[in-house]
Amino acid sequence: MADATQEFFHGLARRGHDRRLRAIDEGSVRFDISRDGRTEHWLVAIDRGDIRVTEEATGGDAVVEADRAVFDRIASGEAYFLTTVLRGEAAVAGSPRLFATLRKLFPPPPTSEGTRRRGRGRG
Amino acid sequence: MADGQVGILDGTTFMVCDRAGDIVPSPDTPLGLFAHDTRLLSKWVLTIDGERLSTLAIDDIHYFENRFYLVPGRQDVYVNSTLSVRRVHTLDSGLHEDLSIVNHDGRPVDLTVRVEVDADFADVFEVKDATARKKGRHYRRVEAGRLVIGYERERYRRETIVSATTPVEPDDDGLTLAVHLEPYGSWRTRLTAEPDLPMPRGLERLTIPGRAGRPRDKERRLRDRLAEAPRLETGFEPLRGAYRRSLIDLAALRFSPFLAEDRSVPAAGLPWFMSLFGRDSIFTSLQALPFAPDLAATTLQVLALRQGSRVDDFREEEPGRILHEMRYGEMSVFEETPHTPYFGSSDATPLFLVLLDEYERWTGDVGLVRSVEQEARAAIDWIDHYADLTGSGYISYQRRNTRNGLENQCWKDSWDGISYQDGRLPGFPRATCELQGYAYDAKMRTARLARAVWHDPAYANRLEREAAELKRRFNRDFWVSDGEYMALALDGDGRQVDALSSNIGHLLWSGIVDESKAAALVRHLMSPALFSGWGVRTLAEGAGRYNPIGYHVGTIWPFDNSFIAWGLRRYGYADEAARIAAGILDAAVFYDGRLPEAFAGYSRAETKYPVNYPTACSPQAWSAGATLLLLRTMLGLNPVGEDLVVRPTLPASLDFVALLDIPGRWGHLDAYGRGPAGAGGRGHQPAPQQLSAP
Repeated sequence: MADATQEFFHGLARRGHDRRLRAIDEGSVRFDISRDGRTEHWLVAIDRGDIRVTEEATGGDAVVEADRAVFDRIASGEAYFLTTVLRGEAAVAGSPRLFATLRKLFPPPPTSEGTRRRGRGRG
Repeated sequence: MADGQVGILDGTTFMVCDRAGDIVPSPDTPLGLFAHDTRLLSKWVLTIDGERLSTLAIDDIHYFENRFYLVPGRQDVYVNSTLSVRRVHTLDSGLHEDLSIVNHDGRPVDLTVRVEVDADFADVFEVKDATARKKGRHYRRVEAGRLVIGYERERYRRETIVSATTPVEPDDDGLTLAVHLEPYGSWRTRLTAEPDLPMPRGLERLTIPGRAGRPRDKERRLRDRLAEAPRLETGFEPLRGAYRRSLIDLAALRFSPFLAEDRSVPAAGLPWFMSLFGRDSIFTSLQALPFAPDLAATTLQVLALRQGSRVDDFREEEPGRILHEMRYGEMSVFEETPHTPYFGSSDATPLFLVLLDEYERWTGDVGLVRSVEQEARAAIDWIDHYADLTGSGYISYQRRNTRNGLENQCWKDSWDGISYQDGRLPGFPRATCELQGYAYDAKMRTARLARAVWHDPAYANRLEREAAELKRRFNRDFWVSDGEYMALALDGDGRQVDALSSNIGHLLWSGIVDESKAAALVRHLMSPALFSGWGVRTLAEGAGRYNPIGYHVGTIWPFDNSFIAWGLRRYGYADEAARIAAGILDAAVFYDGRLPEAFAGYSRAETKYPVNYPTACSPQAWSAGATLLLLRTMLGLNPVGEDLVVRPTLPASLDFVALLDIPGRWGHLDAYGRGPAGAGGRGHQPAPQQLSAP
């Protein structure tokens, strides 16, 4: 998925508000995503659930650095943010609270289903 | 921890060695230095002139410090050494060993001191299951004055750096030190084994749970902590010892997960559970509320921040669900196990709400209740939607992760923990009874918070209506009428899983049992089939799978009993609660006041002493907490409005108990209890008294 990263940030910008982020009064995370020696920047600002996305190269209370190939996988739900970081494939700096909230932005694994009412998959 | 092993711990860093202070390699025992779920030292063996040392004495000064007094030479020969050796182990970010040797002879002596070192970087899960299968590359590097032992897998790297404060000759297998001692002279060095995690900036805080700094700071903090806790006075000396032991062990098990900033939560237990567990930290925080309410505050905040927000089958994450277990070892990081975090427990979510309300009742901290309103409502939604797998209105579980998820997602989470009376295992989804009790209690308590703090009476009414309806159905569907008790569970077809178990005691604690049925449950709990004389067995004698040394099918768990005692008091059975308290506290005497995770279910009349469960963890947070909760239940402490109500009922042979300076929304209050023995009758001691204070 070549455009997963772009789609992810555009999707965030379109979403505008996410009630799961209301735990954060105010904070921002900058993503430095690099490919072929070039780095793209996104600054995601969160204010009581409101989300604003800009392409800024500075600022941010927390910073995520990753290669585009790695971030594509996170942005599409194929890779899990925390373990990717713990394996050393992406780097983070800044407030742990922000990261705990931030992880909610990333999509879930595409294969996991929702509620399982009435014993669906009973075995 | 097995006999012959010595442990020190500091939060989630811990070391288990033998009685000489050595770590002798062993694939399947937890010997070693561990931090963030990884073994950083798998070998640490000291020799002098090629000989290992014999232990004369061990002094466990603090939970984070051990002193070994030794002489060179093997234990099976006549020892008349002119050298004495002292090893002092302390923990902070790694291990420090202060090694000193004294020459008692009038002649000088030259010695070769050697430390053999290795690090296998095993994940604690690999050690537990004895299945080391490293996929990465081990390496070692000798540098000026130090040895670096490392492990690398893709971009994941762990290193242990071994060095000393005096000149050393490092080689691939350890350090050698040449020592010259003058007549009656002494020599000392400090050996250090420290982790080095060459990680990107910011990540240290994600991977290494915080710890208090120097030993002296830790000593001071422990002193402060003990001084802050209520003071216990009693004529039964072992209870004072057990109380002090519990406070110290809870202090030792505290660590700061990275989300908690400088505050801490309890790790679950040494050696296998040195990490954050939702269920264990909630139960421990509940037990410790009258003594150390800060544990509850941090636990609630950390679990709220890490609450599930999406559906992830592998981790069994669901929106609103509270986590089960968090790990940072290699297997978790590479997603061979799902613990980053794993959400496979069905009780942590309702128990989170129970703790939230109980915390507010004690502390009056409405600020915290306001700050997690959204998470609390999400937890209620999880109970109503994701947890109700059969559409019957009951919480039930069937694992999403069919590869390595837990089959039983309740506290009795071993594979055979839930069975019919005849021993068969039920199909899924399983709705165990105590989960329904927790859900009932969670709704009743959340309703109170909704009314009093969130000012949402409509939501409160809804929750109370649902709770009342749940209670009505539960008393109909789970009641085993011919046996007069509550079934352990409903199986996938809604049929009763009819084993008689300790779970019925938790139902009393939650208040879901009709008054008319309580007497029958109490009769069962105190019957010889369940009550051994020491405590209530997890599974009744006579059940198909009953085994007095079966982990969840016959052993006695102090934590379980402390909640059963609380439940007995809730329904007015104060004398029965006191009998359970007496049995468990008597058992504690045999463990020097440190209750293990579990002990065998043999009858007290048969063995006279509690029989060890072979692989029990100790110290274990909720076992340390059991002593605290039993004190609360004996004294009948209950926060009511702005007051603390005290209604003591002590065991027959306990003359008096006083708990002074109990913190809470009332400031500080004292509680006094006198037992029948103290009220004029002749007291007798149910367990051996000690000649002097410990």
